[in-house]
Amino acid sequence: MTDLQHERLGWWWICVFAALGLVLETLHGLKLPVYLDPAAGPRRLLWTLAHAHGVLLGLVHLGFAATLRARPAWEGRGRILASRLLVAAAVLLPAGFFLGGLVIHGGDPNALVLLTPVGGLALVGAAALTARATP
Amino acid sequence: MVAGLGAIAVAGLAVQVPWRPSDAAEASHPPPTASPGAFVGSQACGSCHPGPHASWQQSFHRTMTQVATPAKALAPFAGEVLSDRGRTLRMSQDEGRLRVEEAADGTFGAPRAVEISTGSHHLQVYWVRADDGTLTQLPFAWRVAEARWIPNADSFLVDPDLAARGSGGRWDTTCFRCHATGWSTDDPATGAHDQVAVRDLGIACEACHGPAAHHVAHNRNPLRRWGLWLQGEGDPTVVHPHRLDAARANAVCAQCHSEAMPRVLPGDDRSREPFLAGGRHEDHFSPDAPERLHQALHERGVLSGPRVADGFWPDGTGRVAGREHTAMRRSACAEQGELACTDCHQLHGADPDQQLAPAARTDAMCTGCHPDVAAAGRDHTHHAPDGEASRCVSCHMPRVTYGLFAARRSHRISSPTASGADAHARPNACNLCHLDQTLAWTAEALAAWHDQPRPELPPVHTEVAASLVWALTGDAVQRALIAWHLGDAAAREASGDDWQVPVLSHLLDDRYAIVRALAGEALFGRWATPEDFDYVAPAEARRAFARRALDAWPGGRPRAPAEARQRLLQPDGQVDLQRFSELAAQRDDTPVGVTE
Repeated sequence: MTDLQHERLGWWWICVFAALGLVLETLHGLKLPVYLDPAAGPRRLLWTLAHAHGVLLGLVHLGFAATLRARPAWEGRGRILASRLLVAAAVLLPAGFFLGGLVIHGGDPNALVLLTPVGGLALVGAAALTARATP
Repeated sequence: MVAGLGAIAVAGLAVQVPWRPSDAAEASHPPPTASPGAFVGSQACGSCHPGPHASWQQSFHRTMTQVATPAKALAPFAGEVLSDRGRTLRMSQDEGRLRVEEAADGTFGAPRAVEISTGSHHLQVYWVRADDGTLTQLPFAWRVAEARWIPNADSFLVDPDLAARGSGGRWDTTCFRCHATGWSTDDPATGAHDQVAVRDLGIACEACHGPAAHHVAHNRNPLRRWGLWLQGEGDPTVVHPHRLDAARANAVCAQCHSEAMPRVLPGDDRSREPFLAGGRHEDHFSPDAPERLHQALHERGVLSGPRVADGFWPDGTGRVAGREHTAMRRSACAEQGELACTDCHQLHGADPDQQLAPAARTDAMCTGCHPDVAAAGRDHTHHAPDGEASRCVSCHMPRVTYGLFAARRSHRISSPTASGADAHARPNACNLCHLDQTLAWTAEALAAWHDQPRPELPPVHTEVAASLVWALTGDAVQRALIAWHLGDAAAREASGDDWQVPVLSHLLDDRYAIVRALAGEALFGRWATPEDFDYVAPAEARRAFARRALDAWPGGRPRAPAEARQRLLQPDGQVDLQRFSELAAQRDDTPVGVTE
């Protein structure tokens, strides 16, 4: 992906996950049991994390776009892999949190929350590749 | 790299604990011993079970026993000085602790710290450490409904002489068994068996779900949890009463809500071992407990008379709250069916007051097994279909059980009969609502409606309302129950309310404080105001109130002679003093010792 594509993705992610924050605040305002009951505690935590990580990853993509512009000489497999890992992280991390909280059992999210650690590892990998490429 | 790291992470979680139970110990519940280490405490449960944990937090089970602090105490502890039966105490607090000082020779002694409290729904009792190191009750309790201190001895339906002989509850010998969770009397350091240690104060998660250390250890593995969830299987490492058969599920409640003595066989130390959820009631408690208790109390000279421990009506129906399982197991629904406590009671998510399941608030709980009765409608109930009198529980679970300043529903589900003619006999549902009617009237109605045989009745029960006979000639339990019903709005509506003042005034001077309290409360709102009456005031003050209430009563409305005689009135509405006194002279003064 190009720097412009990362920049576009970053702003869209901020837009979507900031909007999710508004939805969560609305759930609070309407005092909906599905979100506020004590039994829904794990869901509340997971969706809040989805909102926060989505916005954060949008900002990371903006930073990555700026890095690409600042270092046009960075080419090759490392750059491509870092770009793809960052996109994977942007999808998997918030998706894992959100989907994991859709159906909960006691204090446990459902198995889709396993997307989150995979996304986390992708983010770590992308960050490591970008750091290594820095002169 | 990513796939590799992910695989390592998942594998690390999975190998932490075996995925499926592999040993017999896990598959059997409860775990074979109840060492203190087998209990983890309720705090460990909340992270995985936030919903049930939150509803338990709202329950009176949780607050049954608490560390006494100013924030948790319902009583003010603001310098109150309380005196009763020769003891004077001053309540106070400082530095976040509750304190009590007792006066001796007119001088208050050193303050003692109040260590725990028990109760929070109706009464709150406070405990201090006695000189011998044991926890003992203060002689005053806080009554929640009135927001006032009352003498502890007056909070039970116990004969004043028996109360004077008693020493109050002892935490370290009895009370901890039902008022705390995860208890042990064994001290591993010394080998002694008299050291009480508890995991949780109050009735906590593991009282009903069993010791959970095993469960917690095995469920650290998320794959195990997901596997159980997806397969819809119950977790064999913990007890869930809904997955037990009715007898074992009921035993969970019966460990405290029954008339039961720990089963101590020759050479058996089982009374030292706590009952564990999932176990069989009869393995820990004597099935013939009431009779044994009765015998033991007789041998100690505490009881006299033929009744069983004063906790039962002659037909075996319990008349003391807190023994619901003992009553329920004698119901046809339990003897011939699979009735479980949890069919009607919901421990999580229901109103904490009675913890009734939604279905139990309607007749659906009964009509599921008795559709013919539901179909018969008014032909069965003979009352207005939508009224309270047509509800199944009104007739089949009458309030013939005394507990905590109220008449409580009997958990022996039975059909009404014209019972109550014999001395000490259980009042029937009909006459507890139709307070102005005779037992003969009830017998006639039941014969006409349900083909019941007409019993031979003594003359008084053909002439005088059964409630009045019970209130004037009955023992303390009968008098307390009738006093409560005389104040019941539904009964007042069914019976009229112009004739009760004389009998209530009479009960205001009863020997038992509970009877006086209930009679006073029955007068409130209709004939008197609460601030007028104090049921633990000196006798002269109480009698003055009774006289004022009687003087303020304008008399009943004029009636035909038979109708007036039924209510112990003269045709002009004034009291038939002669008949009233004749019946009052027959009062059953057998000492009653109903400890709840």
